[in-house]
Amino acid sequence: MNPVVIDAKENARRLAELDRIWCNEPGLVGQLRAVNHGTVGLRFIAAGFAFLLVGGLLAMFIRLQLAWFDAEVLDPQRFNQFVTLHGTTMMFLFAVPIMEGFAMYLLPKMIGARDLPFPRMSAFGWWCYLFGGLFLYSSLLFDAAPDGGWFMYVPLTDATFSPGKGPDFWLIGVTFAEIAAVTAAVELIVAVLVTRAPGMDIRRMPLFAWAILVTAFMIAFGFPPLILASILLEIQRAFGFVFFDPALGGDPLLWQHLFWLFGHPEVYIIFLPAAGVVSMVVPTFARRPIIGYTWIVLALVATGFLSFGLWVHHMFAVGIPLLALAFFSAASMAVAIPTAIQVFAWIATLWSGRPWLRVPMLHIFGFFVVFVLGGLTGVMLAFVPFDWQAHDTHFVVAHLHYVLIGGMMFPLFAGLYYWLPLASGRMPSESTSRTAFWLVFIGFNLTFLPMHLTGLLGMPRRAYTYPEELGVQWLNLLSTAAGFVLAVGIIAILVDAALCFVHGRRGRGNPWRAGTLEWAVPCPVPNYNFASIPVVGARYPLWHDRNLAARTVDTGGLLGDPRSGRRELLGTGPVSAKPEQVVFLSSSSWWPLVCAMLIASMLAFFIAGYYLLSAACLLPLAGGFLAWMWTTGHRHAPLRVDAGSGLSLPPQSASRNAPGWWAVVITMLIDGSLFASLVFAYFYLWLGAGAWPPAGTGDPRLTWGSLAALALLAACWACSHFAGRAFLGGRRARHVPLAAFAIATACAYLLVYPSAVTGLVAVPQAHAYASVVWILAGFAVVHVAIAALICGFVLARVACGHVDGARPLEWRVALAFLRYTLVQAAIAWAVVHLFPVVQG
Amino acid sequence: MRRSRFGWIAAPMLPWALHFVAIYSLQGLVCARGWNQVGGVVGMLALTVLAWGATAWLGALGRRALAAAADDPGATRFAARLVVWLSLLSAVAILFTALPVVLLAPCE
Repeated sequence: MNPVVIDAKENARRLAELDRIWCNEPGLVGQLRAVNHGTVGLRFIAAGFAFLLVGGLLAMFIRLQLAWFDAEVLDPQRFNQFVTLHGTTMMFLFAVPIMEGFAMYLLPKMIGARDLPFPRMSAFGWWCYLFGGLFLYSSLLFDAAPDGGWFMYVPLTDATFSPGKGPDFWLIGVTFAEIAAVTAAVELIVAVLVTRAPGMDIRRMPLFAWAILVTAFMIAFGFPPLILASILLEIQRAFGFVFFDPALGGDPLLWQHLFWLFGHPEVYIIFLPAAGVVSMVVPTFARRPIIGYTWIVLALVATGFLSFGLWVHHMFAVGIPLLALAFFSAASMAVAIPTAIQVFAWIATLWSGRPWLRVPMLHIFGFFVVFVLGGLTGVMLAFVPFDWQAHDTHFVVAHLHYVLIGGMMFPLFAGLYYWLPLASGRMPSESTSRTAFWLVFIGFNLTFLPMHLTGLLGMPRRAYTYPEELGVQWLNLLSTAAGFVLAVGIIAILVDAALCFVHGRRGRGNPWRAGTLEWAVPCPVPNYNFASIPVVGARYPLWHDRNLAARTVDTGGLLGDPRSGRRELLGTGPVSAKPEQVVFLSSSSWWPLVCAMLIASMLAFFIAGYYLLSAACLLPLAGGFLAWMWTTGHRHAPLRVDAGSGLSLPPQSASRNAPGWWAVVITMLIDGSLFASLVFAYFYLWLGAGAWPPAGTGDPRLTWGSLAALALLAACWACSHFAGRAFLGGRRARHVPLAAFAIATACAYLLVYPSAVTGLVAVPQAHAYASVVWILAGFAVVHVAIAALICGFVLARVACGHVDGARPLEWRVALAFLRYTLVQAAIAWAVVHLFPVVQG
Repeated sequence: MRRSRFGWIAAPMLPWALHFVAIYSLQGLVCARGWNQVGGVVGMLALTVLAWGATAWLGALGRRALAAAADDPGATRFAARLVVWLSLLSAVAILFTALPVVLLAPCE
């Protein structure tokens, strides 16, 4: 892979052509159609900060109300609404999306790529996040803001105790915004796995990329339980199903399990990217490579797993047997170990380096102090007896703010100041930024340190006031006053960052003299990042090779010649990072915006109670997605693409490790997690029930109808299997009828199975058993329907010559998803029809 | 487990995760369904031994891969080293999580 020498005139022509290919179209239309990772990432970051300000404003009202006993700033209902919106905003609309925004903006630059592998999906995620956030906040216009807490506990949020639309706004708005988290997870995993620069094998990946990889997998497993719980609760509220109502066999604890099964990993989903940021900033300002790289990777992987064994520590006081609590108590203590490994690695790096105390480093200092204190109270709360004392007091509020603000917001600001020169080409103001840091640091500590005391004295959380006898009003007044100092500090940071883009002193490239690849990008950042894809030979490429930055504007290297006129990425092997394929990306498009708007209309009709209109939106939505898919890919891509430097590679449609293939694998993981949560719900309800099915709700017999449905699933599997073999063997005449037959059997299953289930169980409103069986069967049916639709779509693509035996990617993806849905349907069948018979 | 895959790195934590789910589920079943409590405790301990065995096996695989890649400073060696250390961490985590089984009655 040796770069070719080209003359300056040709280089300039190529750079102009690259710029034309990668830039957004002009004007508002161009902005609405934009899909570039730089644009979308910055939008996520800007919107995240906007939501931070809104959430912070709500917090100020909360603090005013609690400043003194018997204050009447907010009435109890308004207080509950503000507490709910504050928590929800900070978690779902600020912390997760802004970390995704940082990842979207920085990751391709760090790993030497030109863009993320699915730019349109990023744009789609952005619109879903924006509309979901606006959807949630529109509840204020209808005076129907949710007030059940950000954890939405049932029965408080069911139709009996919250008859208004508040919880519906929360459930629908937040789930809508979560689409962005899930699409970002797919996008980022695939980006880290297959789009790294050649030579950047797993020993040389930036630690931020490791952190994002682990985090994205955590999102893939952690978000589905909440999405499922939200869907179940919304179905209960809208259609009278019963999942959480104990009077009809439901269980309110099921909600808590599903919610915290998401909610605890969520804390680490926020913290790990922040830890990744710290791992990038510390070596730069210690002016030496990170110490304990392997240990930090190990800690990230271990945390990714251990954090899933913690969720019941939010439920220590609900009456679960002590032994079960002890498992979670042990895991809650254990998770401190990998976190401590990282902290010591950072300290060791600073210790042995020559630290340079600039503003990003100040925020890292704030992070160390605040996060470690929060971690210590976390270990305290992991002890069940102590938790019983501190439960539902402000001690817990103090702990969670120390961990979240310490563990996420300080690193976030460190990262903001660290990468500002990269995004703006200018330096932030030294005096303003230092003042702002101290305002935030002192304001924060004086706000939340007293809460440990007020909590230990017994001040309840989630309550709009407190009795005078507690004697905590002076501490609360201090908290409130300091809260405003913190708010001023945060506003100062955001104003400073915004002004930096206009008035900052022009910086040179790489002002911090960092060693990682994102600083090799020329300043201002071009839309394509790298004129030719760099080849990496070390963990800190810029320290290793002083001329690397100069070479990134030279088009003589990999993918430097934009002759295809399309956006191209270099695909490399997941572990070794050897070049494997050329990935042709989609460019600007209306479809992400159109599809997000269709989903928004569908949900708006739903919340207004126009269920038929809402269902009618599914048709244009499916059409929108199909039209979007039809316009992707590169139909005329040759089977070998010249990638420059004497390298010839297949396009992604002919490559085994294609991004699309990995994306469907990750999608199946996410979907599998959703399905597993549903199966868990079934067995959880069974656990608490006496007879199963309860008398009068079902008849557990194996009927001909249900057996026929199972036979159709098996037939569909067999047909798809032979169709796949015929396709890869290039026998199109056999492939088309077999694939068509597979789709036909899937459709027959869709016709046969629903009636087979409804014949066996009562109406879903009768009992939790019936509800959960209906949902299980419906889940299987909907998935098979989607898979059949996708197979039909790919068959049409085959007929039009987009896909063939030499470029089988789309067929491989469709077939994998079809098989996944068949297995899922078979498992659902076994749970619904076999389990009651077996256990009876 | 193909040594050139990403999944190989995360493998040592899987026994911990499966063990955690298994003992928590078994505890729930024993108490909610009124099964024999002594049998439940024995079952949980058996699951712990099983998970320990799986972790030890993965750790041994990792050590072998590490020895095989002794003169290769590349990605294979890095992954093998991660597997060895993660196996150790996972083994400690399994023991620590299962410790309460011998300290507490299953359904109090």
